[in-house]
Amino acid sequence: MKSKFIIFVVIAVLFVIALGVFTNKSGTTAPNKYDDFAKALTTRGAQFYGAFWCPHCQDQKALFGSAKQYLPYIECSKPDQTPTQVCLDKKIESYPTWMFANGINISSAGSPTVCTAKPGVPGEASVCAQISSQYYKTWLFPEYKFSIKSPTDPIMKDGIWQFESGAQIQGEASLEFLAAQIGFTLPE
Amino acid sequence: MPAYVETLNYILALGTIGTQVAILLIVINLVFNRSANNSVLNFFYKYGFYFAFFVSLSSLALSLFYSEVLGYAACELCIIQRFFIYPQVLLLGITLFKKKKLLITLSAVLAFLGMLVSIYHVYIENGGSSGLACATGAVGIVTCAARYVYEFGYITIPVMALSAQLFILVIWSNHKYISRKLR
Repeated sequence: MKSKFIIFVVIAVLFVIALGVFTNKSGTTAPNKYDDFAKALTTRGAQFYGAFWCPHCQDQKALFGSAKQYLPYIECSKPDQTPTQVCLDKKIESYPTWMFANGINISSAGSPTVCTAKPGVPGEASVCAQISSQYYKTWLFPEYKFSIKSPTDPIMKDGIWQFESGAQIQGEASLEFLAAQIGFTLPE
Repeated sequence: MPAYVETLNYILALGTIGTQVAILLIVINLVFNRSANNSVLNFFYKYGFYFAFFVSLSSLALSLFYSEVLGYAACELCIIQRFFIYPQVLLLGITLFKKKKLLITLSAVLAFLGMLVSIYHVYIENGGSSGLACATGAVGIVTCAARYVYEFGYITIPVMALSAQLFILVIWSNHKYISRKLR
């Protein structure tokens, strides 16, 4: 009876492994409606810096479904959670961080909260303690879930704030926003 | 992350779901169909020792694989959970040969305490999604909000640990119930 039970357990374990290998592989090869978009982000010079353990990065990738394999993703974390040299050189301070070849354009009717580089100045908004950078100024627009840090100040033109190349988006960005940065039309 | 690690994470997530199904099966039968003749309860009574030993041994092996082979740094809460699961491998290994009541009670207490830590870790892990972005790690600081494994939208390492501890606890609850009935 015991040997029958052991055979049952071994078969059950092998079944789970086979199921895992098969469904995991088939899930990544199935076409996704965002495949072209993810590829366009890569070809048009976007960069997505993240850490494999970061919940916000996992949520960001999840927006793309299986198309995440085509994203211009750059891993910033070693297994022990310390940052890689590539990301230190790029002054990546939080994950996810997006950068675009032509800078960042952001439409906002409200006025942004501006945080100076750390350690900051007295009287700054309390949110600055969380989002300010040790290198550059940081902007937080009321309509968006992310902040933008930039070595240069943006230009405001017709309701659009224009950040030069080198500016970084820190936090999750919507697909619509990302598409707008590279001039891509999202599929229906 | 290497492709084989992604596949391994996925397989472990499937195994965790299997464990959760077994927990539900036992609990539902214990609550709604409680009887000494219940075949499901009897099955887990008869083979509970093997399942509990297998789950605790797998937990030990996999936690060491993640930290020592893959190099994933264990946070403080992970280390506390290990404190509760590792001795169970020895305890449950002994129960395979000597089914002593004291060993079962010890295992149940360890599983219960480990489960409390896992629940807290799951809470911390979900709290890690607050804020605009994840802070970069620094040397010596390993955040417990890190999600090394994230499958099916909810299965993470603390959820795996929670399922393992709960499974062991449910097995011993069932064992206690059937033992009483057979007395």
